[in-house]
Amino acid sequence: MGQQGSRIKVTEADKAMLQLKMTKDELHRYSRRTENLIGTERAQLKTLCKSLHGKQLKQDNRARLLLKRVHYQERLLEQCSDQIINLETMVQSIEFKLIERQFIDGLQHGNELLKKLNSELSLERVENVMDAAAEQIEIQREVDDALSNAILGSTVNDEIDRELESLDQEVNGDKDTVPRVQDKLDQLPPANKLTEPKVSAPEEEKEPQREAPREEPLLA
Amino acid sequence: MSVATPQIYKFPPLYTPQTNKLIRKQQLQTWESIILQSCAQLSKWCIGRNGKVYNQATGELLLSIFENEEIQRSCNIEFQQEIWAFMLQNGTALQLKEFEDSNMMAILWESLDSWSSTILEWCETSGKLNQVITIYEICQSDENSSCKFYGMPTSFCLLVLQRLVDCHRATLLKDQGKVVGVKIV
Repeated sequence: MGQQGSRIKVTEADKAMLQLKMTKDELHRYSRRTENLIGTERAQLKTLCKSLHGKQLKQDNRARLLLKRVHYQERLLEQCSDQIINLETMVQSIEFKLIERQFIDGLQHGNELLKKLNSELSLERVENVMDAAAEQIEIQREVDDALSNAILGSTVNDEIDRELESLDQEVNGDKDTVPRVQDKLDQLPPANKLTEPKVSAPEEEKEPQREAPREEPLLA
Repeated sequence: MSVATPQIYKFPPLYTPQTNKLIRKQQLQTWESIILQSCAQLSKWCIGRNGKVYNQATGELLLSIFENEEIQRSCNIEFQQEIWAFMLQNGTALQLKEFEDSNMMAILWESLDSWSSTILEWCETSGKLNQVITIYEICQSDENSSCKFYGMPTSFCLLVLQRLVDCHRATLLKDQGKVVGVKIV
């Protein structure tokens, strides 16, 4: 036991508790013994009852003695159980106190730890850390922006622009000239006001506009 | 006979030692299982060498395993000794030191390890860990009357607790040189 004794501590409180519990056990044992005794004596009384009747039974000394004994022992048993209850409440309140002590100890340890942690967390340090964190977040945001811009700008945007342009040309390219012709026609003065030489003038103006890009490569 | 016994208990040749070695061995095994079963049913941990079990409070004879009144057969003492020797060898019976002169045998219808884990489990569920418990409290306390180990003899209980001490889960508390309490962690 010696080796284990050092592992599991047996305190003075434990020894006192052991004494208390042993007393309780003793009372428990006594009450059981008394119960048994009462049981057997009652059984004896009943057998006596069977053999004797009426007055005979009342006058019988043995029966009287037995009943007296039973009553006396019942009183003892009652006292005994009261004492057991007392001891039990005692044991329980001690156990609860022990738990309370543990609770207080725990609270104290927790408090000490909290103090230690708080002293480690000075306001200045927290501010430094927060600033640094904000800075890093800012950098991160910049990097994010740069990355998303680069991707959209270089490939997607250009491609979209190019595609839109070609689409525009495809759909609107031919019509482009049509309204121009219409516009020019609208701008023309009414036919009745026109003079002879002026009729050809707008036609001449129109023709070089159309033929100019075609002539350029020829000229070059 | 208040316990249910297997059919073979009513078989007369069971009570006479058989000469054939193989059959003799089987016979011993049968006796072993009968004794284990009966003790388990009665929740008795100790049995007299003569196979008799008494009610401790009233002294009433509960069981006399080697005598079968129904078929008027009984084992002779030599054969009883042989059965005990067989069980001691198998570890299903134990000669407790305290019982040496009183001719009592402890019957292990469950192994000591199994008992010790039962007690440990009881301590854990009833919140008795790290508290002083008396041996009497474990075996006799009213609140344990539904426990499997209720009524276990003190000496047997000590044997079980010794297992817990061996695996550093318990320490025994002595008072006036006698182990009376235990602290299980």
